[in-house]
This record gives sequence, structure tokens and C-alpha cells, in this order.
Amino acid sequence: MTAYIIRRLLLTAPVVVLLSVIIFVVLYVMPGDVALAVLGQFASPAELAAMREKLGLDRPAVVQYLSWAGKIFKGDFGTSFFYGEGVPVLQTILQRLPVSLQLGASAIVLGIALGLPLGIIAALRRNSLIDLGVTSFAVSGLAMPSFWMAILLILLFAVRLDWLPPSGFVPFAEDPIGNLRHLALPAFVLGVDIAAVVARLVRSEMLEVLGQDYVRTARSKGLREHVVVLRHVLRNALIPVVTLLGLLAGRLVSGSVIIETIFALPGVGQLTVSSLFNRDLPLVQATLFLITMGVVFGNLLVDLAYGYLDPRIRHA
Amino acid sequence: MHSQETAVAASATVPQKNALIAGLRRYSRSPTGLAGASLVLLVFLAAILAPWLAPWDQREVDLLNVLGSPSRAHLLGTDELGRDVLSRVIHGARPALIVSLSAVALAMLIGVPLGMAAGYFRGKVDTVIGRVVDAFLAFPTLILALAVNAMLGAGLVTTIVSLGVASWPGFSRLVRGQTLSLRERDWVTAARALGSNSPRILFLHIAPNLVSVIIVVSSINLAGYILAEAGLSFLGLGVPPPAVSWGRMLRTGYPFLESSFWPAVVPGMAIFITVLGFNLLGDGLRDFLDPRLRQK
Repeated sequence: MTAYIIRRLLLTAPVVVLLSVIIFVVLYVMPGDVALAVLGQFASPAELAAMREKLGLDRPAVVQYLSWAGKIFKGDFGTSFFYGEGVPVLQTILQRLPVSLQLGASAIVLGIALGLPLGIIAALRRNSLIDLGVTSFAVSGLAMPSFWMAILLILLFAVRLDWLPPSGFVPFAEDPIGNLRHLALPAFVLGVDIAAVVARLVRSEMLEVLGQDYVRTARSKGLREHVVVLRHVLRNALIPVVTLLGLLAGRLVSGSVIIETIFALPGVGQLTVSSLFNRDLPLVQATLFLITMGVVFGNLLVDLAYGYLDPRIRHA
Repeated sequence: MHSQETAVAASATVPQKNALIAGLRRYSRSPTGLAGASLVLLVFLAAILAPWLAPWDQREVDLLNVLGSPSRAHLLGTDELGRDVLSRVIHGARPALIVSLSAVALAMLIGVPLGMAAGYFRGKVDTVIGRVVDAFLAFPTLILALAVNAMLGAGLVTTIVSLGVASWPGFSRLVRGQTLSLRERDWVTAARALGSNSPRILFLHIAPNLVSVIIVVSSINLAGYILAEAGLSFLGLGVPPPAVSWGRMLRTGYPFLESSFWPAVVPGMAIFITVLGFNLLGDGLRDFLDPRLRQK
């Protein structure tokens, strides 16, 4: 297992370097003057030149990249153009991170709590009305744009019934009930998307495993059905679901960018969108780098868990 | 001589034609696939026939009929500028399909050759391509597309390029896996033994066997692009006016939700139907093209 972990870490290192290059290229080679975005259209040419020099934009691209990459690997992402003079970008992101983490964790818990039993029941009652219902839910959940579902839920629960707030956020420490009420709709929207993916995968994996010889053997030994399902079927069917959790990280980040914007949640997703609109380069670079790092290391953890659960993987 | 050639050509086309009819018949037996194909066909027809199908000019502003409820004149009501929602939804099918079809073509153009090269040559080529793929896969598609569109400026071409560039690694990884398996098959070994060079093997012996899996994944990816384009437009970074975008319609209709729900709800329904159609089509094609599933 140690050799497997070292091998996976060695494979991740060049990916991290490549990611930093891609982010730099996407943001620096693009047209548009960052100095102009900072100072506004009424700035004089002298002011613009001074700002370019201050930001280091007059240096060759390679020098700029090496300087930026050197700093970020030390944890220095620079200071934001718009969030106060001298405020480190990392501080701004870390302030927003708990909101996104709470939203993401709630969505994952909800998604698994909903998707897992639905997938299992659908597989065990194949071709029944329940199966049809679960499959229809999964297909519809995957096809429904999250922002549309959010709008429909706001219309019903906030506008018509007045049960939940349409937007905004209250920290858990300040008002636990208010916090949960504000997160209910956004977490549900993201959770349904995850539940649809999980239910679909669990159903198909369960069906695959149910047809295996060792399940027939377990049944022929006279084991009770729930023992067969829990001990032999579910355990094997869940291994691919672990991989799915890694893939869901990216889906969740994309979803939260839109959902945080609709529900006015002060998270990293909303910060990413506003920094892109403001052309706040240090903040854009930092959010992109940290989001992708989150996905890379999330996938790495999933790979390691997968290797632990399935010995065939680490010996491959 | 001429009649002989005609006879040979005829004998070759008859079985092909029969196989095509048999294939279509088999596909039409799948309710999922049939439902998906019907929905996709509906959206394509709306896009192609938009000028004739739309009852009103999609850009015609009528400030005396702002946020008008659905009526006989405006079946799905009017938006905040008095424009006919039905006509705008029909016209919105065009940019949605143009963006998604072009983005899938671009993603294939980059991802398929790189995946084939990685899977066929393995070794250093595979390692280098694999790391680049891993790096791009770390970007959630919407995030990378957002960044590119924000930096380059939103537009039809930018949206196509950003979605294509953000999603090619998926194609590359899939094709690599298939190529790794195909290169060990007997007919490839035989071709190599007969002296065929690598490009010849890749194009004549491996590529044709990748077609079915690429078709299935393309169909499912098309659904993803429709959602992503709508998401970009919803955030104000997708296809700009005067083109009609379902995502932008949703965004502009959203503030009036309390008094008039139709300007926001109707375009959402159009996105849902289109994505559902492509997903079901993909499922149907997978069942149809995957012999393992067909035997089951």
C-alpha cells in the first residue's frame, strides 16, 4: 500500500505543475489590459504604465509565471485588486470557504442518503413500478438544470408558501436554525443532482453483481436474502460508487458556482464569479488553483481508498 | 463489364440497406431510445424551422404588453419587454444546438487523436498525454469555460471553444482505454505482421472500432454542453444578444418570478426537454451499439 501511495503522489506532482501553467496561460495570454480593469477607463497612459509596472505585467511572461508559481507554492497568492488594499487573497477565500464546505457536505450527505436506498430498492425490484419511478427520478434529476430547479423551489417554498427564505446566509454559530433554513433549498438542489447520479450507478452496479456466480452460490447455501444483499451484493456494488465521489467533486463545484449566485450565498463559488467579472486576477488565479487542487487531491484520496478497498487496483 | 460492376454494387448495397433497416427496427423497439430520438428530433425541427414555426418575431418589443399572461395571441405569454416567449424559446434552440454540436466536434477533434496515440504508442507518449489529460480533468468544465469566456469576452465562438477545450480530456481518456484493448486484438497483430505501419493500423483497423463508443459518449456530452451553455448564459457569460439563449431568458425572467412565472419557467422546460432527449438518446444508443448489453 505504501508503494502505491508513493506512486500515486509521484504521478500527481507533474499534474499540479501543469495546472499552474494552464491557469497562468488562460489568464495571462488572454487579451485585455489588467491595469485598465483596475484603474478604470479614465486612467491616463502614465497611470496605466505605472500600474503595469507595479503589478509586474511589463516583465516577460516566463518571468511572471515563475514569480507567481514560486509564490503560490509558498502559500502567497498575492493581494486582491478589489477586496481592500493589502488584504491577502488567501484570507478572502478562507473566509468564504466554510459556507461552500457546509453547502457541499450537506449536498453530498443528502445525495447519498437519497440516492443509495433508491438505487438499491430499484435493483432489488427490477422492472417494477418502484424501479420505473426511481429510474424516472434519476433521468429527470440529471436533465434538470440546477438553476431552473432552484427557481421553481424558490417560487414554491419562498414566494408562494413563505416557508423558507429565498436567499441570503446566516452563520451557524449566530443562528443554527436560521442557518439550516437558508441552506435547505440550495443543499436540496445540489443534493438531488448527486442523488440522481448515485441512484443510477448503484442500481446498475447492483444488477451487475446480482447476476454473479458467487451471489448464486450464497443463495444456494441457504443464506437469507438480506444477508446476501448486505454482505455479498452491496459491498461489491459500492466500490465503483467510491470512485464516483471523486468525480462528483467537480460536478459539485460547477453546481455551487451557479447555486451560490442564485441564493446569494457568500461562498467560494460566488467569489469566483464576481472575481471573474471584476477581472481581479490574483483572486481568479487563486480560486481556480485551489478549486483544481481540491479536485486533484479529492481524486487522489478516492484513488487511495479504492486501492485500499480493492487490492486488484494497487497491484495493477 | 459495366453491368457486372452494377450487379456487384447492388449486391453490396442490398445487405447494407437490410442491415440498416434491421438496425433501425431494433433501435425503435427500445422505448428509452425512441423517446430520446423523438425529443431530439423535435428540438432539431424547432431549430431548423424556427422562422416558420415561431408565431411572432422573437425580437419584437411590445411595451404595452409587458409580462402578459399566456393567451390565444401569445400561447406562452410575453416577457419583460413584451416579446413572445414561445417564439423566443423556438429560436433559442438554434444557438443551443450550434454551440453543443460544434463543441462536441472540437472536443472530439482534440481528444480522439490524442487518446488514440496514447493508447496505441503507450510508454512516454501515454505518460505525457496522460498527465495533460489529468490536469485538464481537474478543471470542472463550467469553471474553465467561465474563466475563458470572462477573459476573452462572451460570444458564440468563445463559448464553443471554451466548452470544447474544457471537455476534450473525457474523449481522450475513453478512446485511450478502448485503443489499449483494441491494439492487442488478433486482427491488429495480423495487420502489423503483414507490414502495415502505425498510421494505417490506427486509421483502418482501430478507428472504425471506436466509432460506436464515440457516438454514445458524444450524445451524452451534447446534453452536458446544453446545460453548460445555459449555465454560462444564466451567469451572463454565454451567447450574447441578439441571439436568443435559453439560459439568458431564464436569468432575465427570474426577477419577475413573483408576478409572472412563465418567462423563467418556459425556457427551463426547453433546456430540460433537450437535455433529457440527448441523455435518453445516448442511453438508447449505448444499449443498441453495445453487443454485451444487446445479448442480455
